[in-house]
Amino acid sequence: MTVHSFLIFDRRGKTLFSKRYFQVPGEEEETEAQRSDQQKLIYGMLLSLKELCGTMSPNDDDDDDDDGGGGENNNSNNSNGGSKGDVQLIKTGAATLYNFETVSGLRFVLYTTAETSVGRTASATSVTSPSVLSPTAGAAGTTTTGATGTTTTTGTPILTAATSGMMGATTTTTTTTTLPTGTGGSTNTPLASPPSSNPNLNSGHPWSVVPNTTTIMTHPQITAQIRMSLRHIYEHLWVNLVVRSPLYRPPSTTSSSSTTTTTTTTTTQSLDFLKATNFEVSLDNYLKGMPWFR
Amino acid sequence: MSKSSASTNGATLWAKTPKANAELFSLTYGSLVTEVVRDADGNVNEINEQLEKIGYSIGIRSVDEFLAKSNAAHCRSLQDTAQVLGKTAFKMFLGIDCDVQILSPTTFSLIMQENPLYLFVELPENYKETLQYAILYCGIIRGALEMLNYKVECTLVKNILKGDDVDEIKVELKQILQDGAGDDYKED
Repeated sequence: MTVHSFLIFDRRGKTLFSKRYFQVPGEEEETEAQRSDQQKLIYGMLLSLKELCGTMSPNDDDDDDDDGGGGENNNSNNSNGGSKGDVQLIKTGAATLYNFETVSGLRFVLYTTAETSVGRTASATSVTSPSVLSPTAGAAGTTTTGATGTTTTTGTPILTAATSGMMGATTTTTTTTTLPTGTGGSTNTPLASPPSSNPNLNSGHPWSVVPNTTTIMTHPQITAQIRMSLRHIYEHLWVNLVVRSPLYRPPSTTSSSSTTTTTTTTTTQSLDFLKATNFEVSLDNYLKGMPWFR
Repeated sequence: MSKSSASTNGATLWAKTPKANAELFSLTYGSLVTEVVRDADGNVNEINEQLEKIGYSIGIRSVDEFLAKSNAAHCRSLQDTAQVLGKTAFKMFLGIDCDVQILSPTTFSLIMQENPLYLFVELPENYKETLQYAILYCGIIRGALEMLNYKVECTLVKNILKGDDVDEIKVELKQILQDGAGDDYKED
């Protein structure tokens, strides 16, 4: 799996930090304007998705709704670092965008390609919840670090204890909509029941995918790992190196120039002052240490 | 977040954070206030305003640090926020145990029995009634909550230096700000 780029957005949509790790061979260098447009689009997409999902989800439950390329929006528990209803990852056929949003509105975004697809066979992969598979429940476990939820897959529950026991839960990002017909990629039967909560945690529903799907699968462990890393970047690198730096100027919440900011040209300021901190170096070192980073 | 979990969280965080010398803290603030007083030339309102602004700058930076260090749950209401603020945040940063009093759905009070800022401090007669020494906290609260989309107004209701027995900060919610795209984004 290759990491393409890493971005940090603040609450107002300004890109605080961006770094490209991987250049597609043959692709020409983007211009400044193109890059800034792209960043604005990414921010806009995340913001709109969040608002949309906020209006759609009832209070405590989380209705999963994917469309198109698959947006995963889950009921994560707090050990995962996010609140319920956060946009956690957005997945297309070619790439995945992982998002970690803090309560203060900072968004840490990691854009990667070529997810390792985990699945024993194309024919029968199942998503199981530990509570259901009793003998292997312990093993299947809690995909460690407060795993993110899984999207729903429809169909009759097929327990394949073997796969689940070994692999832990795997998910498929099928495009399920509320209508029983439609969706791409897999043959779905109507939703058995709404995915009310993180199946890895407490639901009694084992999910399974109808065989012979060709969808790329997202290993929730990887998702959880990556989001934990994003969180670590926030907690340790960003806070220690940037927020504590004397040059740091948090975004003002009022659009009018307040009396505290002496200059209004804070837009270029933040990116520049980051070079004065160790942030980029530490970030690079940290990411290179990650097993999923290549 | 329940009251007790907020305070236990605060206590554990306080134990974990590296401590600074309380005297250093208090004396540094004291000298800062002295400077501000000297600059303001007797205009007490301006002094208070300056101190509050200093607090505001501290608050907007502290909030990220607080969120990163503590695993505070997402607050569902202002009451939750008040509990987390009073029990966890104040405890973590200052080691103070605050009492939280909910006065109304949009107002709450933080009551402090003791204040590390007041170590060695005595206000002169001419400033005793008017100078709000702990208004720094008001600024911190205002800044921190603003970063979390709460626009609040903080006032020092009771003041130990004035003769009251506790410090009381009243926090009133004015507006809930919308998370939105800023000017930069809306440019084109």
